[in-house]
Amino acid sequence: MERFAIIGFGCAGYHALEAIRETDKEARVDVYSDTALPPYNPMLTTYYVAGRLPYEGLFPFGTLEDIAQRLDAHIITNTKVTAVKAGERTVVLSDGREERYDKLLVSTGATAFVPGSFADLKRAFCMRTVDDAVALHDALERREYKDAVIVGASMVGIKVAELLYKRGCHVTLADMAPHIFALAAYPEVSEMIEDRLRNMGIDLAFGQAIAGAEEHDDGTTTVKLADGSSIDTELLVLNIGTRAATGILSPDEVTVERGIVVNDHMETSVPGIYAAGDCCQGNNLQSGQTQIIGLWANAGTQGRAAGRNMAGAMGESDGNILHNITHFLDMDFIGLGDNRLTGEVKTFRSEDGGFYLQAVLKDGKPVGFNILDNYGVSGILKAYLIKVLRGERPVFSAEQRGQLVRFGLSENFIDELGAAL
Amino acid sequence: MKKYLFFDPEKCSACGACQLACMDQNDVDASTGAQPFRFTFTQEGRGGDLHFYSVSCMHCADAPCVMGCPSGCLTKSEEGFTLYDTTRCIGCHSCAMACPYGIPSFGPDGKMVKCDACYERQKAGLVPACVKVCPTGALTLLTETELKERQQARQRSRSQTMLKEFAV
Amino acid sequence: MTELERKLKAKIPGEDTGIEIHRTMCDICSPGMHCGINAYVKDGKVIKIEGMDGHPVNEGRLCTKGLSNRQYIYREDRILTPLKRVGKRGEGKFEPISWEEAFAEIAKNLNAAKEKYGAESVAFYSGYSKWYRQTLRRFAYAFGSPNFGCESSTCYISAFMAWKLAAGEQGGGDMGNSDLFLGWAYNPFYSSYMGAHRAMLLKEAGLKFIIVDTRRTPASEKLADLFLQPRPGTDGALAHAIANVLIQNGWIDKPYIDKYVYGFEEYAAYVKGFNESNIESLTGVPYDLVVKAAEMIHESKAMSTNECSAPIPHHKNGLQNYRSIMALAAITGNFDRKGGQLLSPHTFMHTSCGFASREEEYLYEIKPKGCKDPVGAPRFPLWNYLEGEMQAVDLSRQILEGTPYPVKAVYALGMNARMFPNSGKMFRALEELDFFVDTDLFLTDSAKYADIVLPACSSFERGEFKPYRDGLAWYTTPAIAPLGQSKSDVDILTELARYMDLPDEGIQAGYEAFIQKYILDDLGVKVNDLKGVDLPVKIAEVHVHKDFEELEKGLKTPTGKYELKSKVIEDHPEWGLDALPTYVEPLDGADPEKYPMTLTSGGRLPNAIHSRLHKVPNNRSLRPDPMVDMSHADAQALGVADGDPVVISTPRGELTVKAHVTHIMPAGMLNLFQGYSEADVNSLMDDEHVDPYSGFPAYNSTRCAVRKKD
Repeated sequence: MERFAIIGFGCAGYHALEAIRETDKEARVDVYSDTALPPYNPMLTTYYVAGRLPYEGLFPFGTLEDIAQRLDAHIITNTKVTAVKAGERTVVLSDGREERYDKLLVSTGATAFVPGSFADLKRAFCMRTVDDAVALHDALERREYKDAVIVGASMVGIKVAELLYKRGCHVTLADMAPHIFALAAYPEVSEMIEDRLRNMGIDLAFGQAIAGAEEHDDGTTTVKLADGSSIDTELLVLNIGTRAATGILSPDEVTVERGIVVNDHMETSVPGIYAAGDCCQGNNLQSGQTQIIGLWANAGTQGRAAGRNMAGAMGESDGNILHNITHFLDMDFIGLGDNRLTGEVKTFRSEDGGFYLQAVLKDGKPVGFNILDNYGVSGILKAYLIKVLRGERPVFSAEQRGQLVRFGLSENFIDELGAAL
Repeated sequence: MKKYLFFDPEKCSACGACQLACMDQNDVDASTGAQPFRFTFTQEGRGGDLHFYSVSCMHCADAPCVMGCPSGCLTKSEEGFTLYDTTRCIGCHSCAMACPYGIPSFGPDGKMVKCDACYERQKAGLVPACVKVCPTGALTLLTETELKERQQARQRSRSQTMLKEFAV
Repeated sequence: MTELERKLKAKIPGEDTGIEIHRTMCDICSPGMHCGINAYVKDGKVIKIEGMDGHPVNEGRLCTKGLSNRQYIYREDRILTPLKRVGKRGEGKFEPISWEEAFAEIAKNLNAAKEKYGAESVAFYSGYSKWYRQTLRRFAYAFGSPNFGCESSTCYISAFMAWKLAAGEQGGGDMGNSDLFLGWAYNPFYSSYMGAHRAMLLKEAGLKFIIVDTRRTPASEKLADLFLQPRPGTDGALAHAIANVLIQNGWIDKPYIDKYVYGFEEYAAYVKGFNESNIESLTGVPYDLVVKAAEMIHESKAMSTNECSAPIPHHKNGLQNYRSIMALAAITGNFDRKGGQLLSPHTFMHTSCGFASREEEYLYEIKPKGCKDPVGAPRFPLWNYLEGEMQAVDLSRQILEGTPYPVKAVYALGMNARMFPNSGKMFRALEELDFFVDTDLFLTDSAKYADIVLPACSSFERGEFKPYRDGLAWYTTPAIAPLGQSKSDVDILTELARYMDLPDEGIQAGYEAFIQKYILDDLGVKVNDLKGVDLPVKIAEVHVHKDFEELEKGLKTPTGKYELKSKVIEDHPEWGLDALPTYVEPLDGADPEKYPMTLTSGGRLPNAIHSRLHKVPNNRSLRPDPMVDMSHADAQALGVADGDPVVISTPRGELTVKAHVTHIMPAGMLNLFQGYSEADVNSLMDDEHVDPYSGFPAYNSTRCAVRKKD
């Protein structure tokens, strides 16, 4: 009987477990988790804090007991794996025990990155884990904050900004990058969003580093910006970024860059060791290189592919592209593809101004889209972009074309996206 | 047993009956701005050719929306239909971005809605509302065997047409 | 969600959900359909509808129009009490009154008009639908007025007249037994939808189709083996050219013609004028396609025809064009022959159910004698001769001009002033009336001109007798109680007749008594037997066709033969009409330089009928804006893109609508659907540009201009 180990029980870990059980009902599957929580979705934390989701809602696959029973898993909770001995095929646990495995999945995810200059702060909040969410949630229950500074104008940052804004809190959104959604949005689109935010009364402090922060005895914090200016605030939330949790692997044994490098079968440089989810670098269709694409759905497909391969069934994660949809403050921002790629820009704005699309084309082929306020076209354009990148015949099916028109895109613009191909 | 909500464009005239039946079944009132789960349209090719479609959830075998939902609202039924329970839906629109056909839409409460192939009706021995009304039989609910027969028949008629055109 | 909550959400009928299926009927479109509907009812409210399995018309299916019923019934602007106007005509200010007050007011005013100007000064008018029309006609006659008239003054009757002239009564195609179907203006995908399914099945089984239409439709795309696309109103010329090819090649049934057809020699000589030299310039159809059509007809063993009763007559030459198309069956021996055109006399309210009734007796037995001719008689003598009812197209003129006699009051059900050509004129006429009553479910643009508005209920809220083909019939049971104080149209008429004590037992006895005595007594069936039946039941044996039986017996025409040349018209030279189905150019006299385009408004939309469903939100959502269909060529010439606003104008005025640039339209032709309050195409039509034979307006061939909106 084979023995599988899964380290880290999030989206990728869960889907790997499920995929193993598709093929192999007998094998022993050890799941190591450093918490006693069921798999949770970091993306849901802000919804919990906003009161739009009950606590149980953070755990989309149900309770640990249910999962253990449903998928016949041997779940070891509150146990940190401190190291993997690839040569011996064992994992070392925090209590010193070593457990054997035949095949191993590392799905340790990512952790919130807090720079050294903020490390000593006592009252700053992060937004990644369930504990983070509970902490902010309870803090907001306890008192009203008049103002807040949110560092990090990312998808998480904007959701924190939204929930505080909706509570009547004055919000300042700060980021070292010159624009909001710097990793996904074209500058023009960022500016449109920024205009809207400013019109709502949200302050933006972009384009300069946050030098540090000082906590005062009266409960306020002074956030210092690189230009010497500062903002006093009652509440500081840090969403500066995440780092892949790769520490348990020895770089001497397994190739690790920013994340653990894997192939299409989600296998690392060491046979028998797989990685999936936010800790790994899978194939980016667009660059042809491996890259961390830290998205819930991506973790799911990667985990599933890893699980299938571990259990001996064929499974490929067919690669992915950067893609994001963020629904906030009654708007939608959708970014598809690498926003650093430049080329010919084509834009479309609906007659009523309710929908804006910016496409970037290179050699007549789309390499990226930004969409404002139209979720309806987002999936079709994403599927189209992936098709183009895979070198498949880039056509919209009749159904897709009909839906694009229905959601407001003109036939002419649709043709322009394909005409050059 | 697998079941298929099968659409035959050759029989469709985009009359919209299925769309209205679906709106009636699911209490979608256009005056509120709500989107129908099923959408019909006529598509005109550059050469003037006319095509007629009725589009709703394709109930993809490996449905990307299921994986795309952060809250686990979407599931696949034994029969192959993509079902949902939006108790925990946060209205994040991730399923919309996952869907290659632009199917998920969002109700007044911000939660996702879409075609569920009238699953409860099927359980009660009834056919989906759209299938029930379709004036020309373009929409049907098929078993796997029936689906294969239909596809083969369509293939045959296509090759016959091609042969005829070739002969001309 | 619990199991029960899920079932409730999915509207699963059952004791646990409290959802019941009540069996009722759709009455949105013509009496030729009237599909069975299963209404899902909970707590007295319709929560869902679907087609009724086993119903002889729709077999469980339902169309886009029929699917409007639920939202139609519960439209927010349903009238729930009788209303009395307190504002100016058209302003829409009313106050609720009781039925008693309404009846008193109506009786007083109708009697006052009768006393002062004569009974004929009160016109009784029916819009759509038709189900109560027998009662209304009888009411008018009991009141003493010859002026019963209806919406059929612009729909269907022209076709009926053509059949009466040629064959003595109504007929239709025996499509199921044909090998060729001539579908002239035939698009069952957008109306009478069950025909579409049937046509596709027949096509699969080998039936060949010639489709003739001015625009491309799903029928031209899916059914046509040959598609002919004439310009609007040139159908007669095209039919004559096909006839001429048939005759010149000897592809006609000479022995049949000799025996059964009147006027062939003159007809054959006449159609010689439509040939290779002129047909393309007359109609736009290339001559080789004319020949191809004739060849297909020649090669077929049995050809049935659909000459559609709205689009073909809606030209100033419409009735003659209709006769011209009908002639193709006669000269090829396809009339009164299996798989061809068969007589199908009316049983009940314009529908043929295969058995006879005494409906006409009920309609005409108390018709006032020796009174004045109905409205329109001097202008449309053939109409008056054949129909003897008001030609409502002349109503606005007579109200405004008072000649040959004044019309001072109108008692209407479902009046839609927008259906008349130059519709503004009808609104002006309504403004001029001394008294105007309208009955409707909604406070329509026309009802706003009424002094009293009465609230009618829908087909779901009433019981009615309805026969179908093959001798079937039922009497429906209300699926829900009438909303507010609304009542069924026939109950309103009966109660008013009793209130006014009209001197006629027939009208005072009520609707059920009419059905019992005039329709069912002869069959030995009781009204009560038909109430509560799940599906229409057989109440009569039907007439079985035998080839040439009717011709042998002699048709109900003056000659007893099929008349290519009408003896009725021949005998009335004073009418100034042609006995042969002669052809004239269809367009009006407007300056062709100034108005180079042709405007049509007849083409059907699947989601709409007349103005009736424009305010049903879901139906409207399928095509939210009034749009003018325009060819790519015309759009390009104007520099117009799809969705751009354009201005359509005629000498009557102009309208701004969005352009729908489409390949279905030929160049030079614009199509705008009717009945929109904000873009009423009939306000552009000419009330003088009408068919002198039938009085039908030329909705489908009116000169217009179009320009891009600045």
